[in-house]
Amino acid sequence: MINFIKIRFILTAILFIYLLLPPIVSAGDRVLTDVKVIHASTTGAEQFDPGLKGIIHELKSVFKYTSYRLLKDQRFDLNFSQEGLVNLPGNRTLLLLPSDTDGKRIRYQINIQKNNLSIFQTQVMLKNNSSITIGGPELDSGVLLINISSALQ
Amino acid sequence: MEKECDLCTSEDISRFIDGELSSEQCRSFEHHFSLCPDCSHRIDRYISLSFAFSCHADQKTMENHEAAVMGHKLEQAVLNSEKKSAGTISGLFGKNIYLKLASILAVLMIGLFPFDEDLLQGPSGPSAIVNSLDTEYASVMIIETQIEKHTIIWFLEET
Repeated sequence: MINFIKIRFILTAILFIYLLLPPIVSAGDRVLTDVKVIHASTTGAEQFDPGLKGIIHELKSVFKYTSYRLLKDQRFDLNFSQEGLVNLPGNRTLLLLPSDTDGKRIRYQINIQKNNLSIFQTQVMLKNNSSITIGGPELDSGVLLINISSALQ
Repeated sequence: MEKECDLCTSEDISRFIDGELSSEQCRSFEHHFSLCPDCSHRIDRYISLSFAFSCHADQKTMENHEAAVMGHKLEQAVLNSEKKSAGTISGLFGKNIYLKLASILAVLMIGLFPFDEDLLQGPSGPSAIVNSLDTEYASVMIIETQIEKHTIIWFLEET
């Protein structure tokens, strides 16, 4: 009898904990998008912006630039099919549109315009809580690197 | 071999010791015992034997009684302990409370914790899968870093 009461108490406690805890895993309907605009160059002394701590190791493993300077760090809390816009140096504009998700990856439409003309567009499936870097546009004897990271909310 | 008295049988002596004879028979046997050394000796033996049995039986009875009392006390103590412990947390969970709580916690963690497979076994794929790419420039590269599998799209902007 006492054992039965014990088991019933434990099961009830577990049920209560399940009910009281908020759902930790949930496919959100909002996307937190962070855009870092970086100027990478080989001129001057070796310099790494502290704001690039999370990705500098990856960039250095591929590129030979000595200086990585964070020009802009812009965050968006976007709904799906809501566009985000970032003004880039050199009359360039970055347009971001998260369109849908499968729970693990988010589909993004990314468009770079220069003087209001589209010069680059891509569609990617970006992993949740991960990032992609787009680079190449020239700027002041260096290049622009655009790091886009996303997190489902 | 010692010759037994013909007048008194062993059964008579036993009945005399147990007090099963009438008062008249008792007086007659007492008179005989005072005159017959054989019967007197036998009756002494019987009485000492009877006394020894009696003591042993009493001792056994006492032991049985004490054991019964002790058993009853132990039973009561166990019942009281169960009643008391049922009212406390340790009573509800039993003796190995920490082990049981740890088991419950482990089950909850497995059920609720959002295990990130990348944390457990490293990145399982590229950070981004490029579905389509459209640019007016010819030089485009897609790079994936070795460790973190970070995806980089590189394009040369021709002036």
